[in-house]
Amino acid sequence: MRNLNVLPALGLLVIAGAVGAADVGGFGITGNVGLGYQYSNINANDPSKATEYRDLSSGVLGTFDIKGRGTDYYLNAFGENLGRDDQYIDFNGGKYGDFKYRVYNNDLRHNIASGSGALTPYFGVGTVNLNTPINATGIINKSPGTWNAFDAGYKRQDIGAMFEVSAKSPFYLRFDGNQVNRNGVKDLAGAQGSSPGQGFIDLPAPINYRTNNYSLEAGYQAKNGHVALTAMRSQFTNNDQVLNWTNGFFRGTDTTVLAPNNDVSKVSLNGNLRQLPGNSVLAGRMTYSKTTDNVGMLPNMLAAAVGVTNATNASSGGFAGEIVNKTMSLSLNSQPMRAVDTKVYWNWSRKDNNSTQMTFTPVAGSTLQCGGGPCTTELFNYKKYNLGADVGYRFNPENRVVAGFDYLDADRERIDFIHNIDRKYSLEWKNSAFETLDTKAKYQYLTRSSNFVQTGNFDQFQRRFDLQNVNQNLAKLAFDWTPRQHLDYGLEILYKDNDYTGDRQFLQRTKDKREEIYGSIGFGDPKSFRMLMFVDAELIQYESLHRVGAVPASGDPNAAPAGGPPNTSYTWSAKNRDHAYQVGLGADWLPNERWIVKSSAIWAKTNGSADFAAQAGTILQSPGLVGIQNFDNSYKTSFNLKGTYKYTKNWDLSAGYAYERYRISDIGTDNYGYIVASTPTTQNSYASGLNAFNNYTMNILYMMVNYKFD
Amino acid sequence: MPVKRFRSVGAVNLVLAILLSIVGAQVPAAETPAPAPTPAPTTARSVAPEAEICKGCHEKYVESYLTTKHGQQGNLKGPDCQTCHANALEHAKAGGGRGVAGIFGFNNKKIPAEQKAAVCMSCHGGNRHLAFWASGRHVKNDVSCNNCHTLHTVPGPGATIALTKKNPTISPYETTSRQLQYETCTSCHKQIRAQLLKPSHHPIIEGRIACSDCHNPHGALSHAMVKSESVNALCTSCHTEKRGPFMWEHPPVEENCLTCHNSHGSNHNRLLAEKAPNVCQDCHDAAQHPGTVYDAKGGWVPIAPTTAPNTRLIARGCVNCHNNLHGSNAPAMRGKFFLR
Repeated sequence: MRNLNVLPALGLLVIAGAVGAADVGGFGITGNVGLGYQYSNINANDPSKATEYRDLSSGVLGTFDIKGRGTDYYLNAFGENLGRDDQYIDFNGGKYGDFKYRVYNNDLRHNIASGSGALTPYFGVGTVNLNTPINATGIINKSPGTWNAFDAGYKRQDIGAMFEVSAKSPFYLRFDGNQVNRNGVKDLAGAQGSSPGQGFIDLPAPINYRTNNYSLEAGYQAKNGHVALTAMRSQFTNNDQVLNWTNGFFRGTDTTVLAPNNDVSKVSLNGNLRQLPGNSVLAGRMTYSKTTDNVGMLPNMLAAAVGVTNATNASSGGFAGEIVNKTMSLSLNSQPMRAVDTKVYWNWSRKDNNSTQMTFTPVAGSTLQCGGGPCTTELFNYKKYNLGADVGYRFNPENRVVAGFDYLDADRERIDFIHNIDRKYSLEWKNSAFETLDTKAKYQYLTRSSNFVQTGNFDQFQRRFDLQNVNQNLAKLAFDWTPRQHLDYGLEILYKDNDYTGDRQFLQRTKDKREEIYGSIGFGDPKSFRMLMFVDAELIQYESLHRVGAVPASGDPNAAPAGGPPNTSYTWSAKNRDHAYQVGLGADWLPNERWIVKSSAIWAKTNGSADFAAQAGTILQSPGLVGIQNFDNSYKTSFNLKGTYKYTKNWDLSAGYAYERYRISDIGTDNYGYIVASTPTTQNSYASGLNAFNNYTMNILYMMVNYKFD
Repeated sequence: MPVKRFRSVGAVNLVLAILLSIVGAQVPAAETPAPAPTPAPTTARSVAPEAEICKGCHEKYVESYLTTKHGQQGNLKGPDCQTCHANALEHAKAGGGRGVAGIFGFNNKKIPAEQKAAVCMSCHGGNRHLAFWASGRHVKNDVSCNNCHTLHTVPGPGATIALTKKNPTISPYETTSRQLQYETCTSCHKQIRAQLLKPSHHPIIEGRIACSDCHNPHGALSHAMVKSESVNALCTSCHTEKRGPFMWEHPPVEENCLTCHNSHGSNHNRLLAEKAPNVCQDCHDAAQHPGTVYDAKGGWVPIAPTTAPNTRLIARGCVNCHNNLHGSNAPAMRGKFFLR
C-alpha cells in the first residue's frame, strides 16, 4: 500500500477504543468493513483521460464505515481506497449540543498526460532547470521517438480538522484548519521569440504547492437571530518561483516566472435577525480581505540570439502586490401580507489594487520593449453596487407568480470600458393545479449599457465582450409529471440568447445562443425495481465579427477589402457551434432480500465546429476560408453492472464489471506531429503530445467482501 | 513518479493525533455498572405511545425512523412521529388516508413548501447553517427540507446527513462507494447533471468535490448561493496559485473566472466555455495576429496553400505562447503579453 499516512492508523485507534467501550453506557457501535480487489485493463496511448480523477490501478480495495451512537456522544468513521491515490478518510463526532469535531484526509491524483501524451526533449523534468542540447539549428533532438517521457499531473493531498464547541449555549467557537499539498508536473508552454512566427515549446514545469488555511469563527445563534465573526488566513507557498529552460530560438537559457507565494487574510461578519414585523428576516454580511505577495524582479531576460540578455531596467527591485477586496450585502425577506412574499437586497463590492506600479525601460531596440518603448503596468480597480427586488404572489394554492428586478452599476479604472449598468427583469409562474403535474415557466430580460473610452490605436482591437452593450433573453420551461405512483416524467427546456450591440468598430463576439432540453423518465419502486432514463441535448452557438490585416484609415471595419488580390485585409465572421448529447439509462433491482443488482449505461457525444465567412467582395486564394468540423468531437460509452449478495446478516459479497470507451477528434490534435517545422529550424515549435492521445478503452472487474457488525 | 514527502505533513499528523486523543478521551470507557435506576418515564426515551398507533399502518416507516439520529433511543431531544406529522390518534380514528384529520404528509403536494419547512424550522430554525435560508433561491423556488433530506433513512456510506435519492445512479465507473450529493441536487438541476458528464469537468461525479464545497444549499447572500462573497474568491480558495497578485493582470480573469470557464463541465479542455483561439478572439482582434482567421487549413495536416500547421490553432492555440494568461510577474514585454 502506498501513501498510507499516520491519520488512518490514529483514527483506527480511536475506533478501537470506542469498540472496546461498545454497548456500555448506551454507546453502541455499528458498521462495516470491506476488503476487495480491482482489476483494470486500459488500452490507451495516453491513459490519463481514463484515470483523470480516479485511481484505476489494479490492486486491493479497503473500506470501513463505522458509526457510534450513545445518549450523549456520537462518532462516525469512514474510509475508502485506503493506501490508494484517491484515498478518503473522515472521522467526525462529538457530544450532542456540546462540541463536535472532524478530521479528514482527501487525496486526489489529477492525471493530465502520460505515455505518448507527455514527451519532451528536455532533461530535468520535475526540477526548475529544463535543458536540452542546442546548436546553430536550434534544439538538436528533433526526433520525438527519442524524447524523454514524463507524467503530467499532480497528487493533491488535503488534510484537515475542525473543532467546534458550544457547551449547550447559544455561543459557539469553531476552528477549521487544513493543508493542501500538490506535487507533480504541469505542462506549461513558452513562446521562443518575441513574435508568433518564432515558435513555441511545451515546458514540463514542477508543481510544489502548499496551501495552509486556518479560520476561527465565533458566534451567537438563537431562534430569533444569529451573528458570527470569522477570521481566516490562507497562505500559498510555491517552492519553485522561476523555471529556467533552454530556448532553441534565442539559443540561451530563458526564464518563466511561476506562481508567486501569496497570503490572504480575511475578516467577515455576518448575521441575521428573524421574527421581525411582517414575518421578516434581515440578513447581512461584510467581508474585508487582503491578498499580498512579494516578487523579486528579474534584472535580465533572454532577449536575442545567441544567448544575449538585456536588462529589464525595472523601476523597482521588487513587486509588492496588494489587493484589497471589500464587500457588503443586505437582504430583507418578508411576508407583509397573506399570499405575498418579498425580497429586497443590496450588494456592494470594491476591489482596490494597491500593488507597486512598475515600469520597465529596456534598451532601445530590445525585444523586451513594449511597442518600441517602456512597459508600464496598469492597476485594475473596480467597484460595483447591485440592488434588486422580488415580489411573489400566490393567488391560489396552486399558482404563484414572482416578478423581479435587478440593477447593477459597475465602475472600473480601465482604458476601455469604464462603466456599465445592467438591468434585469424577470417573471416566473409556478403552477401545481393538477395533483400530478408541476409546471414552471420563467422569462428574463437583461440589458447592459456600457461606456467605452477609446484611447490609442491598440485599444480598438481589445474589447471585453463581457462588458459590451448586450440584450439578453432567457426563457425556461419545466414540467414534472407523476401520473401515478412510481412513474414520473421530467422535462426542462431552456433558451438563452445574448445580442451584443452598439456602434463599436470591431465587435468581436456579436451573439451567442443556448438551446437546451433535458428529459427524464423514472419508473418503479426504489424498494424493488427502479429505472431512470434521461435524454439531454445542448446546442450552443457563438457568432463573432473580426478584421484581419491593416486597419482601414477610416476605422470602418466594413471598409472594402484591401491589399492583394488575394485580399489581405478584410472583415470576416465566425460561427462556432458546441453541441452535446447524452442518453443515460440506469436500473436498480432488488429481486429479493438477499440480492441487489445495479446497472448504468451512458452514451455521451460532443460536436464542435467553426464556420467562417469573409465580407462580400473579398477575393481570397483558393480554397478560401475552410470551416473546422472537429472542435472537440468526442464520443463516450460507459457501462456498469454490479451485484450484491447478502450471504448472511453480517456478510455480503459485491462484484461488478465496468466498461468505458472514449474517442475524441480535434483539429488541434488529430494527426499530431509533435514538431511544427519552420525555416530556419530555430523557429521550430515543439509540443509534448498534451491531449493528443486521449482515446481509450477500458475494462474493469472488481469485487468486495463486506462484514457488517452491530 | 515518487511522491514527495513533506516534513510538515508529519507535524500536521502530530496535531491531528493530539486532536484524536482528545476525541478518544470523550468516548465513554467501560464503567462498573451502577445499580439499575428506578424507571423514570419522563426522562427515559422510548417509542412514544402514539407511535404504536402509527406502527399499525406504517410499521416500516416507524422502524426506519428509530434507526436515525432523530429517532434513536437515547436522543432525548429527538421528535416523535407527531412532532412532524401532527395528531396520529384522530387520523387513525378517521380511518387514515392522505391528509385525513389534519395529518401532515411531506409528500402531500397540497401543503405549501414553506409549511413543510416550518416543521423542521420549529427545531432547527436557530441553527446557524440555516441562517440565510430566507435569503436563498431554494425557498423562493418552493423547495422544502424534505426535497433533499429524508428522516426515514440512515445516511449513506460516508455521510452524516441522509439525502433523498430515489433514482438509480447513472454515472461512469467511480472508485467511491459514498452516496454523493450531486445525485440529490441534479434530480432538479438537470442542466448541471448534463454538464457534469461532459469530457472536461470538476471531479464531482468522482466524489472528490461536493456541490456544497462551492454552494450553500441552505441559502447564501451571494448569487447562485455560492459560499464565498464572489466567484473569484471561491475559485481561488482551491486554485490558490491563481490568486496573484500579479504585476500584469488580465482584467476579465480578475473580475470573473466564469467569463471564460464553465465551472460544472464543458466540451473543451480546462473547462473553457468556448474553444481556443475563438474564446480569445471574442475580445482580441485586428492588430497583428489576434485578428487572423485560424481556419481548418492550419491543422496538423495543412490544406494548400497553407504549408505548415498554424501554431495559433494546433495544440493549445493562443496558450501555446501566451501561457501565463491568468496573470504574470515576468518583466517588460514578456509579462505584459503573458509570454513568461
